[in-house]
Amino acid sequence: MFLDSENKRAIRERYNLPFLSLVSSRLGRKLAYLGLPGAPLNDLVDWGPMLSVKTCVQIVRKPRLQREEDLQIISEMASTALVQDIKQLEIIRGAIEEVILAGKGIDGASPKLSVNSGTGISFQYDIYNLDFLGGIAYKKTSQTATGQKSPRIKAIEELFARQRGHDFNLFLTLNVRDTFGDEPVQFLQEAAQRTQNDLIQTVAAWGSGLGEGFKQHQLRLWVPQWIRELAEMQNFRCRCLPSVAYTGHENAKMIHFTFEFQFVAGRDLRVQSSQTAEDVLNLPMLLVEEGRFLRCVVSGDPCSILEPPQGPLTPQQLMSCITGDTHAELSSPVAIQAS
Amino acid sequence: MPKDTTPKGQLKQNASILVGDEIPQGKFVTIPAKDDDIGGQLLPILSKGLYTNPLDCIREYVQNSVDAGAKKVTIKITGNSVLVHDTGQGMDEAQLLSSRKFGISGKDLAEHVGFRGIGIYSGYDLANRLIITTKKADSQDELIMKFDFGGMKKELEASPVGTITLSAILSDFTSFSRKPSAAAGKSFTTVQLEEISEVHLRKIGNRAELRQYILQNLPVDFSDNFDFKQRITDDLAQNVPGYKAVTIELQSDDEEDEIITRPPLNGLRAPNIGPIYSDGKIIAYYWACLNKENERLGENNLALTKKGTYKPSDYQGFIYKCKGFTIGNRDQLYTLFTAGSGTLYRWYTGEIYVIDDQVIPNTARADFETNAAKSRLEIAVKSKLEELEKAAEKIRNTALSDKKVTEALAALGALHNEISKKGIDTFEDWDKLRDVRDQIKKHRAKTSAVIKEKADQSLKIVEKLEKEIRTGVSRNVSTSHSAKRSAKSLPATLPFPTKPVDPAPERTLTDVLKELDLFDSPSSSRVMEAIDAVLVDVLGSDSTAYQRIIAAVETTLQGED
Repeated sequence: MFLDSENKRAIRERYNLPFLSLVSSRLGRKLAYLGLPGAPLNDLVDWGPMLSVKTCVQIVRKPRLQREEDLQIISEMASTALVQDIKQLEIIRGAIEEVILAGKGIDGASPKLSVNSGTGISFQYDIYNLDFLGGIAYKKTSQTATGQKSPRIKAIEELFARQRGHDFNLFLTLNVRDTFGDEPVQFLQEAAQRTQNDLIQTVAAWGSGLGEGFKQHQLRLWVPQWIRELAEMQNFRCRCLPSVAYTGHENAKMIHFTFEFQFVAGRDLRVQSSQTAEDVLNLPMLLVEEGRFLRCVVSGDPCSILEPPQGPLTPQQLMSCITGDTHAELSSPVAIQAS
Repeated sequence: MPKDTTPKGQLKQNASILVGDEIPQGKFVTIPAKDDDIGGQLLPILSKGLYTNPLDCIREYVQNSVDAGAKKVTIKITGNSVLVHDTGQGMDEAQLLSSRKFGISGKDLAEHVGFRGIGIYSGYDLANRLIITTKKADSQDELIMKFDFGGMKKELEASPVGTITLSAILSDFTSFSRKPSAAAGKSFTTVQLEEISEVHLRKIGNRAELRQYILQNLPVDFSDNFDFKQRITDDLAQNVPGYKAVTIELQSDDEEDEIITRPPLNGLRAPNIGPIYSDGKIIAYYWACLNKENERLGENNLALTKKGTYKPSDYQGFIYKCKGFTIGNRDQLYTLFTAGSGTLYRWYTGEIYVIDDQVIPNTARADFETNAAKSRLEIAVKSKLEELEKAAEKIRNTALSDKKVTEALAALGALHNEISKKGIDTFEDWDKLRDVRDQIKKHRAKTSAVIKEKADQSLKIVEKLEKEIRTGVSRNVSTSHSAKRSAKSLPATLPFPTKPVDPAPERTLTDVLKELDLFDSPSSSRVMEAIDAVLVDVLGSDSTAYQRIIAAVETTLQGED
C-alpha cells in the first residue's frame, strides 16, 4: 500500500510542481494526467491547479486478500476525490502495464484520452506519473525461458508508440530493488562499446563496478539512456532532468526521473535529441533528505565534473535543474566540498 | 392519572416469564424475544420489497445527507460504482455503529426525513459492497464501515431459510476501520455502492433519467434565475420546520459535471404563499404560482432552460413535500380541482409542505400512511385547493371577458371604419351596432379594470352612433350624406382599434353627369365641364353646398328614370 513520505512530498511540491507549471504555461492549458496516485491522491491534490483530465490506474490483484486491499484503495481514491473536490477524475482498474499495452483496464474501460482507431490505440496525455514501488522490472524465469520481456519494460517501450504525435512528459519513480541482474551493466557496457566517447566508456566501467549499495547511481546512469533511445526511435526528442534519489516509506531506496518528450512530425527515421548521451550522464544527481534537496555525489563518479555546492540547493538552483540551465546555477562559488 | 414512567424507547410490559416457563392461565405475560427470533431473510425481503426502483436507493442516501445538515450533495457514477458524498456533519464512532442497526433509527421525526432505520440497506439488492466513510470536523480520523452485501447474499442463499439470524449476518459481513484523514477541519460522509449489477447501473447511469428522478424526488434548490426563489425560500425557511434545500451535483465518467436545480420557470404570476390550517393549527404550508398566460404551464414557461432538460408536465399542479422530499406525484391532487375536469389545476405550479409530524410518509414515499392526521391534512388541503381553484377561475373568467370585450371593441372599430368609408347603411349598421353593444354589456362586469374603462368609453360612442343613425333616418337624407356626418361626429380618439380609411375620391358634378350618360355631344360635355369648374372654384369641391348640388342633381335625374 502506498504511503507518503516527507521526501516524496518535497519532490512533488518543489520539483514536480514547478516543472508542470512551466509545461502548462508553455502550452497555455492544463495538463492531462495518467498515473498511479494511490489512495490519498497526493499527486492530484498537489498538482491539481495544473491538471485537467486525471486518469488514475489501480491494480486489482487476483488473490482474495490482495484483491480486497486493492478494491479498498479504489474506494478510497473515489472517496478522496470527492472530499478533495478533484474533478475530471476517472479510475481505471488494472495493472498499468496492461492498461498501456491493451489500452484498457480489466473492466474493459479505456482511459479517457485514448483513441482506438483502425491503426491501433493511441493516447493523448501530457503527463505520466509512474511510481513503480516495486522497481523497474521483475523478470520471471518463465518469461526469460520464452524470450518474453517483462511486462513493465514492454509497457514503457509501448508508451512511446501510444503517444506518437503528442508531446508528453514522464515522471518515473523506481525502487532500486529489481530482478534485472546484470542487464543494466551489460546495457552500459554495450553502449560504451558502440561509442568512442571516453566519458561513456569510463562511466560504463565505473557503473559496472558499483556494488548493491550504489544501485541508485547505477539506475541513474542507464535508465535515462534507455528511455532516450526508446523516445528517439519513436520520433520523440528527449530532455532528461537531473534524477533525484531519496529514501521513501519504510526506508525504501528510491530514484525519481523526469523526462520531457517532443514529437517530431513528418520524420520516418529516428530523430536525435539535442541533449546528448554525454549531457545526460553529466547531469547532476540530486538527493532529498528530510525534505531538503542536496547534490548527491559518490567518490570516483566520473560524471561529477562540477564540485557540489555546500548545503541544500537554493530555490534558484533547483529551478535551474528544472529549466535545464544546470551548469550556470550549480557551479556557484559556494560549491566547494566533495562528499 | 398516574404518570407514565416507562423509559423512552421501551414498551410498557406485562409480567414477564422466560422461554421454557409455563404460560400461566387467565392472564397475559410477555416472553422476551431473542436475536435469533429475527431471521436474516428479512434483509432481502425488506430491501427488495421497499425499494423497487434502483434510484430510490439514491434517494435514501441523499435523505441521510440532508438529515446530516448537508447543503451540497454530490452523486458520482464511476465505473460500476455510485458515490453519494455530502459535506454534512459526519458521524462519530457511536453514530456510525448505530447506523448499522436494522429498523431502528435514533432520528427525531420532527427534524429528519429518515426514521425507519432501513434506508442504509436500500443498496442491498443493487451492489455487492457498501462502504461508508465519514469524518467529523473535529476528528483527525476518517471512520469506515463496510458492508459485504455480496457475502451476505451468498450466505443467505447457501443457508436454509430460518437458520441464520439477522444479527449474525450483520455481524459477520460488516467491518469497521479507521484511518488518518487529509481533510483537516472538514466533515463529510461518503456512501459508496460498489460492483453494482449491470442492469441497475444502466438505470442509475442514465443521466436524463437520474436528473429527472432527482428533480422530482429530492429537495433540490430553486434555480437562481427563478424570479420568486428568494421570496419562496425565505418564506419556507421561516415557516416550515426542518425545511431543507440542497445543491446536487452530478458527476459521471463520460459526461460533464452538472449542478441540478429546479428549472427557472418564467412567465408566472407572483406566488400565493401561506399556511394550511386544520382546527386552528397549521398542519402544512404551501406556495402556488399561476401561469400569466392563463393556460396550463407549457414550454413558454421553460424558455430560460435548455430545451428538453425539463418537461412542463412535471411542474403542472401541486405536490406534497416532507422536509423537501417529494411524497407521491403531481397527479395525486389533480382531482381536487373540480371545475372543467380540473383544467385549472395545470395552470398552477406549487408545493404543499407537510408540517404535521403525525402525517407520516410511507416507505416508498408514494403516499402517507393512513391515519387520522392524514385525513385531516387531506380535508384541509382540499379546502385550500378549492380556494386556489376559485381564484384561478376568477382570473380565467376575467381573461375570458377581457377577450370577448376586446373582440367586440375590434368589431366596433371595423364598423367605424366601414361607416367612415361608405356611410351608414341604416338597418345593417343598426343591427351590427346592437350586437357589439350587447357583447360589451354582457361581459363588461367581469372584465379587468383597463378593459372595463375601454368598454365604458366604447359604450358611450355606440350610443352616439345610434343617435346619429336615428337622426339620419328621421331626416330621410341620403346615406352618403349621412355617412359623412356620422364619420365626422366620431371622437378623435377611439377606445377600440380602427383601420386607417383611405379618403374617398371627391366626385364632381361632371362625374355624376357622365355616370348618368347625359352628354349626347362633345360640346354639351365641354359646356357642363366649364360650369362645373366655375362651381368648384367658387364653392370648393368638398363644400356642403357643392355636395348638395350634386346630390340634388343625382336625385332629380335618377327620379326621372
